Amino acid sequence: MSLYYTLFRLALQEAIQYRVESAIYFLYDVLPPIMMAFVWLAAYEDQTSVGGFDLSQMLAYTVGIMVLRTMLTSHIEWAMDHEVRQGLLSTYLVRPMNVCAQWFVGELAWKAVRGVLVTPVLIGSLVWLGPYLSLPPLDIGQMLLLAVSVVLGYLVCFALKLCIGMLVFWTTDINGTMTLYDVTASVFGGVLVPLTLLPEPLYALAMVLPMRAIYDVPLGILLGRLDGAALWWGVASQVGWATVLGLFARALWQRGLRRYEAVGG
Amino acid sequence: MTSSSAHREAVAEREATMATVRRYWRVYVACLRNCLARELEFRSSFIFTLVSTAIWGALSIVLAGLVFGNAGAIRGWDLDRMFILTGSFMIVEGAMSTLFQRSMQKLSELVNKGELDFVLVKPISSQFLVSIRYVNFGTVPIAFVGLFYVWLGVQRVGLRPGPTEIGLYLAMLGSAVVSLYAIWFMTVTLVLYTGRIENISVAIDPVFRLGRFPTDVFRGFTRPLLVYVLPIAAVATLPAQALLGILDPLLVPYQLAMSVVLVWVSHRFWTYSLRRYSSASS
Repeated sequence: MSLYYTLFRLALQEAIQYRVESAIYFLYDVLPPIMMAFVWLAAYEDQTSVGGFDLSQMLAYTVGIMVLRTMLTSHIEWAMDHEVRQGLLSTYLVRPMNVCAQWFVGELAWKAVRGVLVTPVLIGSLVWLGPYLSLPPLDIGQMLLLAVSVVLGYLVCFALKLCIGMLVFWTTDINGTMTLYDVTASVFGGVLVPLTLLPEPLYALAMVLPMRAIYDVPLGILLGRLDGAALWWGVASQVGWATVLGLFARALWQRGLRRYEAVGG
Repeated sequence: MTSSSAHREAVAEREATMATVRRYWRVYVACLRNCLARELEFRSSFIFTLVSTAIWGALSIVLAGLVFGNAGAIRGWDLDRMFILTGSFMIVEGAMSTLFQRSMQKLSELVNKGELDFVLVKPISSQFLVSIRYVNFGTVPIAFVGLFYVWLGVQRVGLRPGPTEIGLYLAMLGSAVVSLYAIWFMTVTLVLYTGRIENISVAIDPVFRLGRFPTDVFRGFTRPLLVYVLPIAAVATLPAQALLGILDPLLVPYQLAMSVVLVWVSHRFWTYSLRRYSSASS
């Protein structure tokens, strides 16, 4: 355990060293939701409900998406692509540690820096949008569930990105796959707009895709839109996806490593 | 006697200017040919890139479709008008990434590797050469899909734009491209002060993307910021307004002047910043 704590500290130092780069990528996560907040404020001038959301819920969703996409979205696939292509993976493999676990703590360190960046923006957004927000208060149990759901969302996203990153063993370029993922995740993960705004067939599709388990379930709990069976079903789907994708990544890793040896040797 | 010599001088000066323009044009064409030849070396991969860029480009309308399809009109913009706005955004996006994306990426690498020397010693404006050297033909389809969306929006709204509207439209698009180039170039020039920032060449992108929605939705200080200080309104909102015939005429000279001033500032900033450059090897 202390090994991974040390790795985390090393990764944190590196993440702090690259803080300007982090701040630039951070703009990609925060500017679109801020723009959407303006769009929704203007849209609700003529109506009280869009896709079953009132203004308060829509703004809370938008701020929530801003925080979650900053904090939950792993970008581990880029590190994997770089490390496998440059052959850095070889030096990791000979060390007595789990390479995936190293990627995991490395990603946590980058997220810690993002957390520092997003906090003032979150406070600013709450001051700005506070007058419009009136959410049903959460009790202790719901808050705990929200926290669990956020952690599970992180795990689902990490496992999913791990699977995508594994493609580096089989393809020469993961850029195309990443564009494909970004587009599907922003539509079917509810990053652009809440999933209920999707047309019926796309909504049905979104409900069975893993991206739904990343952002939509925690935000559903926060907004009080999930209750009873739907609530437990949502959290269970997160557990299910994290497990399935984790196991799948493991299988890909074992197969991919054989190919990596074949290429590197 | 004196008047004829002054006349001769003026003629000579004009010829010298023309010769310079021709020389820069020849260099630009040489760069274009070089980049196209490189793309065509891997022809099937290039065609695949063109097709997939066109498909991803076409999906740009999804965001507007989801928002305006559910919410109806927002501050006078409905989905039909959003086709014009989104299409205009894509034309500028396609133009910017085709003309400058790769050069800006290369510029930050040149500085970091200390290879800017090879540019500085050439008998041509260094800003010109670093800005236009690499043309990326792979992103051209975005602009064409954008043009199609603009046409579609014009049909759906039922517009009959005359020469004035089209002229103003092109002027706004042109000023947006020039202004954005100047700001982009200045942000990348910052790398001369900061040292390596790996993603500096894409730092402008999230700001640029604010142009996907009509600037009319912004409130408070953000709207004047995006209309008068940054050329974000000029990317899509002002061109779309020009086609719709609702563009504030005062904004036309303002935006054009802004693009000229920004290019001038970017040039001053570049020559000033070059003093900071101290190669890498020596």
